[in-house]
Amino acid sequence: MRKLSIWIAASLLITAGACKKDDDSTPAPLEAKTVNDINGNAADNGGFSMYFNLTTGAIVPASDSNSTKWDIAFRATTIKVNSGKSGPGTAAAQVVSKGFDDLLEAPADGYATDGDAFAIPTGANNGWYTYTGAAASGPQHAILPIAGKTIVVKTANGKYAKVQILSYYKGNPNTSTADFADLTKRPLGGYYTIRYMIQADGSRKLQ
Amino acid sequence: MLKQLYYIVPAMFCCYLKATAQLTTPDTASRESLEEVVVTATRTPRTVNNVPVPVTVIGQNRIERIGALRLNEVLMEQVGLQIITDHGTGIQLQGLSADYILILIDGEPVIGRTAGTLDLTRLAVGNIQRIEIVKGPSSSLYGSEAMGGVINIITKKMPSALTGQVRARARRYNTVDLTAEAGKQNNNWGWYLFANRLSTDGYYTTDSISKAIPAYAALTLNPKLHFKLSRSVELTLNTRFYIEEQKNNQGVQETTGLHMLKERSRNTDINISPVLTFKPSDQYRLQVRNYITAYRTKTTIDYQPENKLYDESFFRQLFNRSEVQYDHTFSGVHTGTLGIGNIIETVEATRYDDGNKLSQQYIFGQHQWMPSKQFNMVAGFRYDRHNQYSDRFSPKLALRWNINSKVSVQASAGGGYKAPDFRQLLLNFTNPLAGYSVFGTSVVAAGIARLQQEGQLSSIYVEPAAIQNIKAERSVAFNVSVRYDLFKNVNAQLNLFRNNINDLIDTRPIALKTNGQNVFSYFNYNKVFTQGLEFQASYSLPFGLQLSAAYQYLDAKDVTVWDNVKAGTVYYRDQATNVDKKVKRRNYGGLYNRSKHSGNIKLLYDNNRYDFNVSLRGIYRGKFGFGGDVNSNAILDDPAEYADGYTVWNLSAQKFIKKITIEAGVNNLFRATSTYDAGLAGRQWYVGAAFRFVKSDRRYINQQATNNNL
Repeated sequence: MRKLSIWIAASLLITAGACKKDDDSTPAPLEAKTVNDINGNAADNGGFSMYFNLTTGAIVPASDSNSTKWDIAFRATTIKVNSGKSGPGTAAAQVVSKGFDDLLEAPADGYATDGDAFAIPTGANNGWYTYTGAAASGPQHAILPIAGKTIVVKTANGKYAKVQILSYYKGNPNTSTADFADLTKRPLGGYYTIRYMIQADGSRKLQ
Repeated sequence: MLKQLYYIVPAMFCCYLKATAQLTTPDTASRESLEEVVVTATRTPRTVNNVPVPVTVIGQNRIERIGALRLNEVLMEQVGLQIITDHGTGIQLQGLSADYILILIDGEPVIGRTAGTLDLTRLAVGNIQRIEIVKGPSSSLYGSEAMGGVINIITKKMPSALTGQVRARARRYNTVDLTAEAGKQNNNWGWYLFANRLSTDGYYTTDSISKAIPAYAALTLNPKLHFKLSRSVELTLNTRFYIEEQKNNQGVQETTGLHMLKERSRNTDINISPVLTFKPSDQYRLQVRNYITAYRTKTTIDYQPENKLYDESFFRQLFNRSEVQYDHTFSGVHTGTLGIGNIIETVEATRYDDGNKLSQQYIFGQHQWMPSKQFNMVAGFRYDRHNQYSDRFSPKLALRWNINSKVSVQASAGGGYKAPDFRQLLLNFTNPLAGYSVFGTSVVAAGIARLQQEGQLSSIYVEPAAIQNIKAERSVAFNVSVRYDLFKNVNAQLNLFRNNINDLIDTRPIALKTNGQNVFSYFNYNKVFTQGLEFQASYSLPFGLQLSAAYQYLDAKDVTVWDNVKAGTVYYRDQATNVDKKVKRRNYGGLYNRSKHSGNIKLLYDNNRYDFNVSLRGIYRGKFGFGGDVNSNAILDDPAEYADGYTVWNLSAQKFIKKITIEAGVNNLFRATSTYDAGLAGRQWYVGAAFRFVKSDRRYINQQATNNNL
């Protein structure tokens, strides 16, 4: 799977590069990729976050955490970008209030790096998720992605990508079922399923 | 029961109840509801068919015959008024929540709100002569909070003969209500005393640790005095004292498990209102009023069973309003009103700094023009200046056209406003666990400076200097009403309303702390609108029967959300597939806790031969959003985010035997329930009896319900 992703990314790079050389008016549509169950539980990762490279679509080992080999990292409900306090890179990000499929171009500005505050705001209702607490309806004490929020990342190597968090639970479960509502049967949390798209040619076009 | 003597009450009594031609002449027409005198709409006495805004009047007889104990029980049976239980039992009117509804007693505001809600269960109804309800903004006369409407409680007048009454009622949940009242108007002075004690065990609506309505015992005293100092000068003193002790249970989840807590709170409320009226002739009236009121709460929460302190909090508010109002009638068709006032308010509370003093000055003016019986017009304004937020100008224009004897039209446009509340101005709070801070706009500059000095801030998003210009929340509203008296015994009324509310206040982060948490303050940014129609019809049937029906359609939306829904930028998450989809226009349900459809139907029966009456009322509340979110977009759009509608049926009866009244009834006859409505108790029976004495041989007359609001 990981190898395949690399090959896809590599071929995309080649195609994109080829397009640019020949004719940049009709770029091939980018492909949205889904990665399942990225484990952001530090306890499972030797106390580290789970690092991810958007260009290769691959997990980056924790030994490379102090490099620019990764773009974003997951740790519980926090999503870091490789910059500032989080890493040596220059990656930046912002949360845009637009659906993943409707966000066709990355914003020109508004990106932040990880300083005292994370570029992707932490906490319920601040960034990408809501916490249901003792909700009167629906599943209680669940971390659910806010509908219509797309994370736009300017990667460590200057490429634009958009990321949608599909699920925070292992196996991307249906959150309306009785099993999900039952805290004893709910799949483990901290497992991200993400959908993302990266523009390799350096432009802001994301379609 | 004191009412039979009203027409011989000396000319003037209460602050607003200026004697008019209609009152001084023995008023045989008083049974005609349209001749009823109301004061709330224009701050001058006017017959209800001569004011340009619709006024709903609920008379004493109606309050008594439904067996109501507290104001919320009276208001819940009115169309367009919805009881909402949220930090107390409050009222929603034209879709505007309790924060935006002004409650007055004899024209003076009741204070003491919790999270915006003025708890209506604090207000006993046994001393009420009538309740006047004006829907739509009246800030041009009353200032802050009169944005959605004004509910004015007019207390009883003094009877010319010594009159008194004792009344006892018992209800389910161990509810006992005891009332005593007496009064007399002599030549030069008069007195009235009302005392009430209500105690109840409260009740649960869901299987929970806390009761939806806590157990409480409350005592109300309402002594009034009236002096006629000379032919043209009168002094009245209206006072009210209220004390309430509440207790409830709570549970708190801590690391060591679930702990039981016992909550006790005490609320006290004092109102003192002297009014000096100088009225040399029918043309002039000068009133000087000084209203002082204090509201205090103290809450203690202890761990159980060890009785160790968990939390303690208090809130103390003192409000003093001095006001002068001058009314001048000239050429018989013009009445001008000019008033100025000064308000000083202090507040102390657990999360506020000490020494908070708020002051406000205002001026209001109004011109009433009544060129003919067919047409009248009122134009007015009020200008408020406050030491904590921006100045505010509130205009109003209203007109009435009695097209013919059957049809009349009223139309009005006006501005309403609501001052930022204490929390929004004064809060100084840092969450000890999470570490974030919240500052009110009046204390934010000092708060930020302090944090900066202590090195707790890493960056500032918004300069504190830019925050201090907070504005009052404001509205522009339009109301149109058509009344049609089809026959003598059938009438119908249609009201259309629209409220555009701007500058709603909410929190936003203004700075980042070094601990990664935000500092919040308050900003004006949101906009909502409410619009709808209200229809009422009543039909006086033969044999003492009266049937009425009423309906309200309400559409209340957040403007920003609605615009975004229309633009296709609002999403919901399909839970089965975890894919985001666009919210369709028809699925956006607007603001929470608003029922699109509501209404009531009432059947009243009066038997004059055997001196009894029976009333059956059905009150419908359509489905409403209860505030839950199942599809991750924090707006009301999914069917699972609505609570079901329900209908409450209340039945009551009264039998009069000479000086004794016996009453009984059942509230919520068919046990309507809703998890999301704490005000909805189970089926509640009640019984009661009253004994009245009049020191004269004047025979008691069982008066028919004289009001037209059903």
